[in-house]
Amino acid sequence: MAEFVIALPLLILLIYTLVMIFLNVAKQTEKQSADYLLEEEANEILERIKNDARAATEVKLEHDGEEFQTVIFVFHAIANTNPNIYDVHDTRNYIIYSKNQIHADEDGQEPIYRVYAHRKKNPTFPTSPTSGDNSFGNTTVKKLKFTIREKNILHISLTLKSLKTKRMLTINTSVFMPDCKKFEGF
Amino acid sequence: MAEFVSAGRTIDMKKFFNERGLMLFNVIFLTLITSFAGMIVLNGMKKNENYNAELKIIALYLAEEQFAELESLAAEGNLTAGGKSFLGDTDDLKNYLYENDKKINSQIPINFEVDTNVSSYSSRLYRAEVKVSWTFKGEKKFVELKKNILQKNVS
Repeated sequence: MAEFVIALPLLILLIYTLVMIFLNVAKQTEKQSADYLLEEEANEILERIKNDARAATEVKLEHDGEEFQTVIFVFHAIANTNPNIYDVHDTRNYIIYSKNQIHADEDGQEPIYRVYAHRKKNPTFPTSPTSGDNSFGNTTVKKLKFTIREKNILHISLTLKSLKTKRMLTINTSVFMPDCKKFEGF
Repeated sequence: MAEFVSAGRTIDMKKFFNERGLMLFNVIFLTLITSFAGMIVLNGMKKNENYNAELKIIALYLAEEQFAELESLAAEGNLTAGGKSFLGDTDDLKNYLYENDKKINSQIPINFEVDTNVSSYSSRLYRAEVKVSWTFKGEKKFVELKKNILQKNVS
């Protein structure tokens, strides 16, 4: 009986240690996947904007505020509905919007902003899970700015914040727009 | 076996190494081993935070920025072979790692370096090699991207 009196607390300690390790591993995994999500989402948004910018013949900028800007790309689209019309222009807007969602935690409240890609000719065009409806994103856009450097170069600066880990990621990049003739709002 | 005196108590070593005593011994050792393993795992966790993945994506987009500038030069027929400095916005070379853990908000500045080498591939085709490097916690890392750029025929 005497050995159980000593062994039982030790066994409890052993189980407690194991549980603590597993909890920590789970917590770390959650944190790490939040980081991956942040990187992936920033990559997705920038990659889409870059692809549209390269094809654009016109680019318009609408100043919404200090932190956010809306960009509109006009590009040639294939007229698959009417073969007689060969020169079809389509536009895609990248809009920053807040879905009246507020993220609240112990530090306070902040509205959640998302990037929304909207195509005019085909409104049902599927938007990406990350940049479109942002269905798996626990992130918010802090800054999205566009500037034109000389010689048809669009400079993009994007800051995303993870709501899970509160980490921020700023990515600056440029994209060369070979066919762009018209710049508005810069 | 001799008698063992510790802290004013005598421990009979024969009794200590009998079956019941050995079981107790086992439990103590198991607990020690588990807690040591736990300490090692938990200690390693903090160092496991992979900031380099984040820095790598920033570096990749910096290389893209340099490619955009080179392509713009090529579109005007001004691309020449040889080493180049960073042609984009020099403010972009400085970036920050934001850490926000347990209400401590800190910014770690990271400096990126962009080395570019453009070599002539054929009469109009150029090959650009862009190497973006950074140092984080004394560790130097880099990404290297290569791209063929067609110079516009200006004649």
